[in-house]
Amino acid sequence: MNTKLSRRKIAASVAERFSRGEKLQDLLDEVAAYLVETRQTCSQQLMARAIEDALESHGDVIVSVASARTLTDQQRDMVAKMFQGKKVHLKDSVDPDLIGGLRVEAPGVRLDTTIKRKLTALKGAKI
Amino acid sequence: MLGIITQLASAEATASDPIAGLGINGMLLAFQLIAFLILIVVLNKFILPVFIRIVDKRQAMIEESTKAAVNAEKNAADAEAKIKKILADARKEAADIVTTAKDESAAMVADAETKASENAKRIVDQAHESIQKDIESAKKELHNQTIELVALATEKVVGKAVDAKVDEKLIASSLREVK
Repeated sequence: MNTKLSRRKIAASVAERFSRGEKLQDLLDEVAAYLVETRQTCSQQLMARAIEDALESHGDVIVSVASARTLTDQQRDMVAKMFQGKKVHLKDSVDPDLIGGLRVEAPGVRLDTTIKRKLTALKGAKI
Repeated sequence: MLGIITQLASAEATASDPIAGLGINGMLLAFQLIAFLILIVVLNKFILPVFIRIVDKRQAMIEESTKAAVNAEKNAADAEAKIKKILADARKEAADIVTTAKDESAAMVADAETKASENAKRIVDQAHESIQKDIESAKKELHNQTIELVALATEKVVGKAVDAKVDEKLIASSLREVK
């Protein structure tokens, strides 16, 4: 990959290959390697957003879920039901500092019901 | 008495010269009259004018002194009147000065009181403002520290209180609210 490609093309390629069944992690590794090689690491956020948009246009939604404890299958199903009509790919992570609740992030969606956020909001009420 | 009678008796004896009968020497009398007349003339010619001049001079001096005394008295009266007038003017001027000084001092005192009152009021206002600021600052500080403590305590308490079951309920509740 010596030539520079536009973010849109890369994102479209990733979305197409992902829809064909390739593993998302492998695809993201390839994109990361490309960004490093072409010295575009500073635009990784934009690239991630472009890939998410491209996946969404294919009907795929990557949902990041963070919680203090490992989610149960029932909870994962409840999260997936938030995006009805789309193929949800859940990326969950455990962060004990969140104390309780969960944080859901997806293109155009951000839900944070963690106790940590509430405490942070409380601290933010300082005058 | 006896001498007179004796003389009358001897007079009868010398009736031929009545003057001699009286015991008077005619020549001596005439001589004495002439001497007396000479004395009068000498006195009138030489002594009396001197006395008259001295008396006139003295009278002139007395008159002059009297006149001077009158003048002096008049001058003294004038001077007294002037002094009285000057004293009256001075009293009036002093009274005016005192009145003016009283008015000015009263005005100064009133002005000083006003200024002092304004200064005191300004100082009090500034002190109130400063105190109010300090109170507000202290309230903010207390508020912030309270929030910090509440957040810290809540984090500690909730961190221990939230177990898997509570967390599950919390997540379920959150997701239901989203729906």
